[in-house]
Amino acid sequence: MEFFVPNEILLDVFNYLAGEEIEKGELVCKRWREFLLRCYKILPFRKIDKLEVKSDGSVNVELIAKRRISSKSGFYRWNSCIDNKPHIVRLLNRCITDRLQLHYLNNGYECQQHRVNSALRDIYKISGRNVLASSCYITFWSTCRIEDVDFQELFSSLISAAEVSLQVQSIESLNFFAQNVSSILNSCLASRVYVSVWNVQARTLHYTQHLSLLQMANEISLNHCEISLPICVSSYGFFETQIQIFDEIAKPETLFGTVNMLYETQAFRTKGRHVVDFNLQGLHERLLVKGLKWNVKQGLFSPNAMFNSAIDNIYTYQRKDGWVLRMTFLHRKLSLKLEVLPPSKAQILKKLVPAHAHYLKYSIESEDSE
Amino acid sequence: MATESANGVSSPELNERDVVITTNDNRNFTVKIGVARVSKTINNMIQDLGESLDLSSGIPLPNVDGPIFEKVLEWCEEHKNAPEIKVEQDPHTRERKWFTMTEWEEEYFRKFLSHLWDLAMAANYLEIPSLYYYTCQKLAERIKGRTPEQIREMFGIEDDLTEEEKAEIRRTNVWCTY
Repeated sequence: MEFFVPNEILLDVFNYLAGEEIEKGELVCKRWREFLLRCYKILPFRKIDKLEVKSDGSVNVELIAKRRISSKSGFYRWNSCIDNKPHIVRLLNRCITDRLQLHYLNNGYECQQHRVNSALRDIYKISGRNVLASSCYITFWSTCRIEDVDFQELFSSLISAAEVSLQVQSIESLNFFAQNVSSILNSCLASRVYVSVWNVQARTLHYTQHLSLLQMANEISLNHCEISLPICVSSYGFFETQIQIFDEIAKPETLFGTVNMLYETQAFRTKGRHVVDFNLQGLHERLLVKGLKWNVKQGLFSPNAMFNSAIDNIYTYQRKDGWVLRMTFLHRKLSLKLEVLPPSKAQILKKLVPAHAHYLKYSIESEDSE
Repeated sequence: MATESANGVSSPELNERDVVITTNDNRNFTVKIGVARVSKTINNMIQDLGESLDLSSGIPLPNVDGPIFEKVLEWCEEHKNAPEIKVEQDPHTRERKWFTMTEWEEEYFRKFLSHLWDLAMAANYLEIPSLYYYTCQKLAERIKGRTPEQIREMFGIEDDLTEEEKAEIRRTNVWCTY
């Protein structure tokens, strides 16, 4: 018996199937194969929980797709030569993922560097354009020469991602961002962009770097973006530099409006084998020595009380021209909010959180003992 | 609406009257108009013909044969007063959302399991959305989880792909596990 079904019906049948079931149909017969090859653009996607595009710095690209299949994690791994672009495009065209992860690593052999870089750029561009991803995470490894990356090109290719998260791993990368953040983010259509910096310890930041960071936050606020900078601040120097910058800067309005620093409680405690010589009691005393006023109405300061208290501890510092730096410890949220308030708003905003606030988040991490 | 009421097309009395439907194998089916109208194609014919509709000479259905139409009628009888179905799809994956079928519908498809493709084609021609989309879903259910060999065997499809072609498909669909 000859099997004939109109394409219209085949399409409606396949529309009930998941991406991987559809691809299987190619192996049934010639007609199904031809039909599927023509219709992939309108058929359901292959749903992938996480898609990673990795390169080992040579000409190989590894695509790792993770899919949870009936409570077990399924992995599809594919190593492919990046010269084989049609393959990759075809594959990526059929995917939809919640998380597209691009690892930017440009440490190819010297002789191949140029070729690898340009090929990698192509792959990231292809991935960004062809994979429907609700969020995209891009990691720039410490070996990556970030100035080689064409961010405008990269971002403009991430058309589907509503959230883009960039992770940079070196202070040089951070500086690059700080200098180019406006132009970089203007080319991104995502409604939210997170930038996080790893392996950068706050106390290694010198004054200028610290300043550029805080000014970067100001630039970011113009772009409706959120920045997360998980910097280790297990030293008082970070806060002292912050106060110094606030005190010395000619135009405080170029600094951050509001900074949310998310800290881990262990950063302030003696934990395990690490004896942390940085604690809340010490910070409290240092802040008072630096001239900050502590606005808490009841009791004496106690680090334990701070962790358990429902009362938020507020420190304020006022410049001669009336600008105010306000630091609020929000213990229930394990965060420290820093606000720079102009003289006109210093009084009005005492009890208000700015509605327009775009937060610069700092996460205070426990620093390994050195 | 004026034309409809003038012809009495939408009146409940008309729905109770019989109409003869002739399939492509020249079999005549006498069907209540109310039942026949579950098919949008037949309903349109009734509306188009209006007063000139001759209930006894019949409506021809050149694309449907008797045995399949019999099965379709069974569905129409059960769904004559059913509301229109709503076809939805996942906005992200584009995958159609599966309908929940009643016990009767499950039994109906169990009974006619070997005629699903014919039912889908007839429902498509006759424009019966409920039967059409439910049948497509049943067919998808049959395909799901089966190997290409099992699918071929189940639907009587000839294996016309060469081993080289199959190897090429497996190579290009790198995540293909079959």
